[in-house]
Amino acid sequence: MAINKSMMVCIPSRGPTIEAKMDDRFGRAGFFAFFDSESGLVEVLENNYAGGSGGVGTKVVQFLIQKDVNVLIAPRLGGNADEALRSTGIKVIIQDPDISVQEAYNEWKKSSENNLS
Amino acid sequence: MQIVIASGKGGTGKTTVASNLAFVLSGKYDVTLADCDVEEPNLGIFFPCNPEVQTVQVEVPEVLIDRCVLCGTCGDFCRFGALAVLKERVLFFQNLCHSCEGCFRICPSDALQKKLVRVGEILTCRLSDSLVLVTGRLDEGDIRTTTIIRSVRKKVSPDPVVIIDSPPGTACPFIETVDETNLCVLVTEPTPFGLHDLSVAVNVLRVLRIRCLVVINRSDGNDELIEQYCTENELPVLMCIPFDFKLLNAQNTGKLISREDKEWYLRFSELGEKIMKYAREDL
Repeated sequence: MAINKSMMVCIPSRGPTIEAKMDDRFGRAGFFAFFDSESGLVEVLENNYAGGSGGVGTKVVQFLIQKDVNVLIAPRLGGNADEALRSTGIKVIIQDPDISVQEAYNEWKKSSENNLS
Repeated sequence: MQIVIASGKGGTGKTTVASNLAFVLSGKYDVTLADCDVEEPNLGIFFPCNPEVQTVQVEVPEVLIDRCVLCGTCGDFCRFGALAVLKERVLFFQNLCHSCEGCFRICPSDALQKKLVRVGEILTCRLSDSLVLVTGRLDEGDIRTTTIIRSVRKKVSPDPVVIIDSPPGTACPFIETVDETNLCVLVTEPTPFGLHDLSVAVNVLRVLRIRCLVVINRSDGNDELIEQYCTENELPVLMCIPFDFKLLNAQNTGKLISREDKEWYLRFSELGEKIMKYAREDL
């Protein structure tokens, strides 16, 4: 995907910093990191829906819409979250969660810059 | 009078006890046997019949897109995540909806209308002059277990003597089945797992203030584990069902042992009389 405008990139995280490992869950991820690709600003927010009894995937999708997310980098998605995301226009990139949030973002940035050039 | 046959642990013999108990009691009372194990109802195996079928429906929201202003109120409100408000439309996930009807009330634009969807059915059979079988059956893939249980319980509520076969476990389906009944008979087996789940069920029934009685199934004669627990907790043990080839053969061919065998008929009659005595004390 070419970076032709500012992109909001979301990555589920196990901890409150971007050095933390990616969370291998989506709806029940502990935190979400939001990267603004243009300004380079990062915000890590706690996932308030993580402890919900059910339907957390679709709740989080609505949260991502409110945060104007364009790209989601996640290891896997539940069925309901996947269906909701398909209807949003948010691009989903499946990524092995064995790396940190920062590394996942860097990989995405590098590959999108390569695509641009 | 409503008597629930439950267990906590699955596969301990709820259905065996419920079916035989209802059969022997129907010799003396007008009995309704209700299958509330709606995810996997199987009392019909012992009582084959051509049932009268009623559909069970629930109300779910349908978005009127010309009225919806995408404000997000319903999406924030729905704790089950069944409504997802996106930038241009609202997605509805029927498999997450619990039909609480809250979204209809909360929508400020009156943009949700009620739509009926099927979630299962109730099958009713008159088996004899004094025995009726009412079976709840949840549609495969649906989650509204408690809705079907509630429908079955409503249907049998006017009947004089109701024997209810409970779903296994002690969560919502069990609570929906047992709440505000007169008595609960817990069928257990003399294993650590049986004891564990028995004690969980007993604790739930204490909270609900429902008297419980115990039947030990698959007894090999060494039932101290269960007996000790029952003594400590003042739970009457009404019957001990041993390993028995006659019972096993009847079960495996879909036959009712108390209909096939005089001795078992008498054993279940004795159980029935004891249960009725306790149930009358509750009334």
